[in-house]
Amino acid sequence: MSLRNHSLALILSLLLVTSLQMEAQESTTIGGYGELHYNEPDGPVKGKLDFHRFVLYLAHGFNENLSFKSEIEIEHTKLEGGKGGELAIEQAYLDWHFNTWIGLRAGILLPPVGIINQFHEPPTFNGVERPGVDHDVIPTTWRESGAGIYGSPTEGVNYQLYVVAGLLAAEFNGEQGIYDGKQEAFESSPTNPSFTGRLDYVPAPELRLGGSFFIGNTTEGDSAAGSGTLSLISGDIQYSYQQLSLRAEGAFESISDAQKINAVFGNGVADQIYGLYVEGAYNVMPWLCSETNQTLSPFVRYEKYNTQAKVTGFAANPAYDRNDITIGATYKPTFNTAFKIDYQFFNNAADLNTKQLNLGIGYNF
Amino acid sequence: MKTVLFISLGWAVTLSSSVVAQHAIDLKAKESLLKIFGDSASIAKTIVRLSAEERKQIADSIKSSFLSDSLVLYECRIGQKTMGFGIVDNIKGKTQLITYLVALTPDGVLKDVDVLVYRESIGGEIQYESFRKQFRGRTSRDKLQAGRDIKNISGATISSHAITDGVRKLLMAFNLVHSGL
Repeated sequence: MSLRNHSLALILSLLLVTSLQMEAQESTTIGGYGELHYNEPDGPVKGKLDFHRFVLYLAHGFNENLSFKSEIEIEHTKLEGGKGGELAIEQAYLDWHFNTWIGLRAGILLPPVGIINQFHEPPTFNGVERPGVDHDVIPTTWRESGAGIYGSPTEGVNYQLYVVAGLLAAEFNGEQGIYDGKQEAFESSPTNPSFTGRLDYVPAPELRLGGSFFIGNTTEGDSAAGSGTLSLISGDIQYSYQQLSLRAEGAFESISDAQKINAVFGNGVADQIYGLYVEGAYNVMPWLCSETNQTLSPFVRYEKYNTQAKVTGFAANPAYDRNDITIGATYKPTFNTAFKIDYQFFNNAADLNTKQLNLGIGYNF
Repeated sequence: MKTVLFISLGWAVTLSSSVVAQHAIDLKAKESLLKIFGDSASIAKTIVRLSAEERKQIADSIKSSFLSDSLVLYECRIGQKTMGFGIVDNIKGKTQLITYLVALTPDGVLKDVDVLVYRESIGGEIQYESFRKQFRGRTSRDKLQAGRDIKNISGATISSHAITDGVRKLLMAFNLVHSGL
């Protein structure tokens, strides 16, 4: 027996070590969520039936502490001839969980701002469409490349703190605020690193209080457009008592040098944007059938938001000063499937009011 | 001969390292059980094989599939007296497996639930005392549904449901194998 043979045997054994070790420790999981919407605006505008979001999760645990998580999304079912929806990686990151009080996360992350950006599986919220505030004020689903830390230093308290690619002022506008400024990790510019974070306080299972922020420049160093510092702060609360569920969210944004941004890009960018909503739901199923885990929750949501709350050098468009009322119901045969119906009243200060009926189904698994 | 020795050595390393992950969970389970049943408890681990019929009975009673063909059972004794049992299992949360322990009295009354490894990015609040205490004193006769018998964590519905389903499953499984213990 030569030394070479011994070495081969050892290498072979070590390979077996590795493969068996992987077998014992590693695990891959899949899952997903989706939502099919039917929107019927009041008046001559035609309604539409749309499989709005189809998302697959793919996750892998390398060992007890290190894991990969991802979400791949198809919006509006297809892309064809440069038209249609969107195929995107919504999340893809590595989690290195050292211990309960600190872990490291890097990849395509969700800025942990507000309720919906982090928790957007359709059965987890009422209403077919996400709240308007969670689009025009907090631009969900908001994801950027970045890295940071997270943890729970003491029971009841969680934090997340990340540095991520910033927003692009060139894409800001009057109607949707910062929404189109997201880079979404697409060849994103690292010129304006931004900080984002969140603190959650969960004193009891039924109550969650959250505070979050996002701060960073947005002009990629274009001196003519100034620094365009976006400062966003947000607070949210989720509370449930017996069959009653309440949630509320508020967000305030200021954009410095909005006047300069408008001089360069001319998009009607505001100095200040705000939005808030409150929503209450009550599960009436126990009245109909006491022996079921299904839920039927009528709900009402009131939203107030203005994407040109304060402007300089031009007149704010009153149509962007909005309040939406959504009245509807969510029927959940299981906790992770939902049938939804609602009616929305979109009102604004310009009195260009519209209404819309929505029907939807949603699931996650 | 030497080659055989090398291969054997490799295999020894293989086997020992393949159980490293299992061993870490084993240690965590024992540590947790000592906290629950007292430091003086002695803990013996057994693997209880389940027949196809038993698996079907568990699946029927929990109205969900039951895939494991065995249960990792820890018996906790002080002296000759059996103080209780622990069962370790995995259940899928949003995207990752949650490794958890259920500790029971010999009568099948739940003493405590402990999350041994939590791998999800969010929903870690199921590890909080304020959530876990809701399970204590429950038995396989309790229906144990998240959102009804167990308050969900606001903003962590998926993990709350996962662990509640997992606990219900193990209570049923324990009830079933208990007569054979």
